[in-house]
Amino acid sequence: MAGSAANNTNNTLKSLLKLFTLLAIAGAAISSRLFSVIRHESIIHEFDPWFNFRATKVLVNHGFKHFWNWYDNTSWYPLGRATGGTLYPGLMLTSGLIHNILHSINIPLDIRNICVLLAPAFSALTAYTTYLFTKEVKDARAGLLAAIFIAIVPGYISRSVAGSYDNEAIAIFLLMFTFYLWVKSLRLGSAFWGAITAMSYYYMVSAWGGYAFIINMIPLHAFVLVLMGRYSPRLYISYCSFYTIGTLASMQVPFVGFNPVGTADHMAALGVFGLLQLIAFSTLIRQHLPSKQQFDTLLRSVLVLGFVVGVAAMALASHKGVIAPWTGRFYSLWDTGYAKVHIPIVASVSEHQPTSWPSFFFDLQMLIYLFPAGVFFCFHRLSDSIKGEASVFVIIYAVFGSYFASVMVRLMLTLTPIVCVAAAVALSTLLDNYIQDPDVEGEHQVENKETDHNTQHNVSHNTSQKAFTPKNKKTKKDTSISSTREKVIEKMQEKAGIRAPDARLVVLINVVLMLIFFVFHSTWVTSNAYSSPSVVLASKTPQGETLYIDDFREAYNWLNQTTSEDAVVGSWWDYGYQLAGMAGRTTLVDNNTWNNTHIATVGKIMASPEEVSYDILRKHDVTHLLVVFGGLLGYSGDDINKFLWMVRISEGVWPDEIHERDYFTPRGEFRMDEGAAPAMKNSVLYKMVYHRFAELFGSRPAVDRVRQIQLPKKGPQLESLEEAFTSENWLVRIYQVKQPDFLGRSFKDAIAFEKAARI
Amino acid sequence: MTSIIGNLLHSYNNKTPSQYKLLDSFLLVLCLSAVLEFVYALCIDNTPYNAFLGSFISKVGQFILTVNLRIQSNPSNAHHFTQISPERSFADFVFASLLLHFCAISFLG
Repeated sequence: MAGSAANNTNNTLKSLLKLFTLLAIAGAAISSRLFSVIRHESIIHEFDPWFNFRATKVLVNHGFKHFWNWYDNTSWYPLGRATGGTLYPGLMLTSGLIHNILHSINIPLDIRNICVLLAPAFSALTAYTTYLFTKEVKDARAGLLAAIFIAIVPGYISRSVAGSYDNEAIAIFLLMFTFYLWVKSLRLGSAFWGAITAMSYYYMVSAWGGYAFIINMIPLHAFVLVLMGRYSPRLYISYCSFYTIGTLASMQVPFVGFNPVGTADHMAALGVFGLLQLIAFSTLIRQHLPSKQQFDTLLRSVLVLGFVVGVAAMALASHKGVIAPWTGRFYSLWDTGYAKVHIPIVASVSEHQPTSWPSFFFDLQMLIYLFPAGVFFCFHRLSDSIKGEASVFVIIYAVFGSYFASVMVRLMLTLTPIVCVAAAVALSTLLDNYIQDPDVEGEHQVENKETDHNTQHNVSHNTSQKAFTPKNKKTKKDTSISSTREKVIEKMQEKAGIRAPDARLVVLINVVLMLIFFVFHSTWVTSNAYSSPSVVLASKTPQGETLYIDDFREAYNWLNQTTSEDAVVGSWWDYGYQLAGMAGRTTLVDNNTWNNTHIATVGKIMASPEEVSYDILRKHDVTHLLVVFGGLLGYSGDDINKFLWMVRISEGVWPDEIHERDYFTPRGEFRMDEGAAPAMKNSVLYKMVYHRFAELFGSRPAVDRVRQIQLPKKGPQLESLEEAFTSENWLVRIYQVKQPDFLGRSFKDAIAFEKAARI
Repeated sequence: MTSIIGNLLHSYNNKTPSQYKLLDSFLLVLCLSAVLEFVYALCIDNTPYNAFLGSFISKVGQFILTVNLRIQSNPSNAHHFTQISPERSFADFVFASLLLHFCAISFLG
C-alpha cells in the first residue's frame, strides 16, 4: 500500500516535471524566433510571405467565398491568376480562423501581427508533437530531448522565425503530427486513429506541396514492414483507413485536384494498398485451408499474379498517359542534372542548389553526428514488438531525408525533425546508462545473469519444453553457488571501471557541456543568420552603430504614393510578391509564375537592346521598370548578378534572337566595365543599372563594389526610358517607359532635336 | 487448383458463424457494385469525374472498414489488439464510416 502511494506521488511529480519542462521548451521555441521583431519591427519578411499575407488580407476582408473564388487581375499581367485554385489555402485559412476567433472574443489583434507571430506559435506545437513522436519511438526522456532540440535547432528556425509567414510555418508541425498519428494508429491498430491521421494529412495537403513526402513515406514504411515479415491486422487497418479517407479528403483541395489518382507521385501509395488487400485476403483464406502446403501454393500464386497484373496495369496506364509522370520539380530530385537543361527556372532558384557540407553543421551542430548513432540505436530496438515498427519508420525517414537534404538546400528542413528525433534517442540512451545508480544497476544485472545462466543450462540439457515452471525450479536449486560467485565478481567490478561515480560524472559533465554549446551555437546562428527580414538590411557604420538600409520599402512606398492605380510594373520575378504586397501595383511576373514564356519575355526585355524591348514593353502596357543595383552598397544579390539566368531563360524560348555567348567577350570573360561585350553594353538592364552612376564619383572613376570593377566615365544613355526614382543608397532604381513621341519621331531623333534646340 | 477452391468453399461454409456471413455478403455486394461502376466508367462514361471518384472511393472505403470490423471483432485476433475491445472496434467503424461518407458527399460537388 505504502509502495503504491509512494509510486503515485512519484508519478505525479514526474508528470508535473514533464509539464513544466514542456512549457519551458515552448517558451524557448517562441522566444528564440523573436529576434527580428525586437530589433526591427513586426514586418513580414522575404518574398513569398508577402503573397500569403496579401491572400490572407483578402480572406479576412472579403470573406471565405470571395477568397476561394478569387481571380487576381493584378498579377501576371495581362493574364491574371486564378489564385483561389492555385495556392495551398491551409496557411491563410489558419490565420483567418485565428483572427476571427480572437475578434469574436473581443481581442482586436491586427491581421499583420497574427501573420507575423503565427510561425513561432506553431513551432511550440511542433516541439510538443516531436516529444509525442519520440515517446512512441523510445520513451518520454528521449521525447523531452527531441522537443528541446527541435525547438531551437537552426535548420527549422530558418523557415519559422517571426515574420516568415510561409507554408513551412505550419507544414512542419503538420508533418510531425501526421507521422505521430500514423505511428500511434499503427501501434493501436484502430480505425479511429487511422481516420484522424487522414484528417491531419488532409490539413497538411491543404498547407504545403511537400505533402508528397508523407504520401510516399507512409506506404514505404508499410511496404518495408511487409517485407520484414511484420504484416499484422493492425497494419492493414491503420494503413487502409488512412489511405482511403486521406485520398478522398485530399482531393478536395482545388490545387491538388485529381492528382492523388492520376500522377506517379501517388502511385506508390496505391500499389501498397493493393498489396495489403492481397495479403489480407490470403491470410483470411489460410484459416480455411487444411494443409499448409495448399495455402502456400495459393498464397504464392495469388501474390505473384497480383503483383504482375498490378505492375503491368500501371505500366500500361503510364504509357497511355492516364497516369501523369513525375513532375519536373520532383523528377529533378532523382536526376539532379535535369533541371538545368530542361527547366531553368527551377534550376535558378538558389534554394534548389545542392547542399554543401558546412551547411549541415551550421544548421544542426552536434545533432549531425549524433544522428547516425541514433539510427544505429533504432536498429537495436527492431525486435521490440510494440515500438519496433516506429523504429523502422525512423530508419526509413532518416535514409530518405538524408538523400533529399543532400540534393537540395531547401529540403534540409524536412531532414531536421528526424535528425532531432534520432539524436535524442542516441543521447538519451547514453544518459540512461550513466545517470542510473550502479547499485540498482548491479541488482538488475545479477538477476539478468541468473536467467541467462539458467537458460544456457536448459539449452545444454536439451529440454524440448520451454515451459516456465522447470526454469523456476532450476533457479531455486542452483541459485546459491553460481549467484554468490556472480555477486562477488559484481562487487569487485562495481566501484571501478566505467560504472564508477567519477567516470559517470565525467561523461555527464561532457554531455551537459555539449548541450550548452548547442544552445549557444543555435542562438548565435538564429540571431546572426536567420533573423534578417530581407526587406530591411542592417549593417554597421565605421563608428559601430547599426545602419538600416530601408531602400526597398522606400521605393515601394514611392510607387504606391506617386504612380497611378493602374500602373504596370515590370521587374525580375523575385520582387513580384513584394511589389504587389507593399506597393500594391500590377506586376508582370512574380515568385509563383510557372509560365516559362512569361518569365522569358521579361528576360528578353532586360537583355535586348532598347528598340526591341520598347516594343515588348508597349505590348504589355508596362509603365515602369524596376531594377535592383547593389554596386554602391556592395549588395551582391542584385539584378546584374542574376543577369545570366535572365539570358538563359529567354534563350530557351527565343534561341535565334538571344545567345548567351554574345554577352561574353571574345575571350570568354563576363565583364561589365570598358571591355564588356557590345550586346551587354546595349542591353536595357546594363543601361538602367549604370545610368548616371559615374556622376556620383565626380572626377574619380566609378567603382562597382560588388563586381570590383571600374566603370567608364561616360555612362550609358537611355532613349526610351527615363529615370523616375532612385532610392537613397541606389539599391532600387525605377524607370518610366516613355510614351511614343507625339510627332511620331524615333526617340533618337527626338533627343537629338532637343539637344540641338538647347544649343 | 479446383480441389483447393472446393475445399476452401466447403470449409468456409462450415466454419464461419452467421454474423460474419452477413458481413461477407455485404462485402460481396460492395465489391460487385464497385466493379460494375468501374467497368461503366471505363467503357461508357466517366464524367463528372469527381462524382465517379467520390462514389468509387466511398465503396472501397466502406469495404475496408467492414473488413476491419470483421477482423477486430474476431476473438482469435485479440492478441493483436491489446487495447481495442470489440465494442471499441464497432465505435471506430461507425466514426470512420461517417467521416468517409461526409468526405465523399462533399466531394460529389
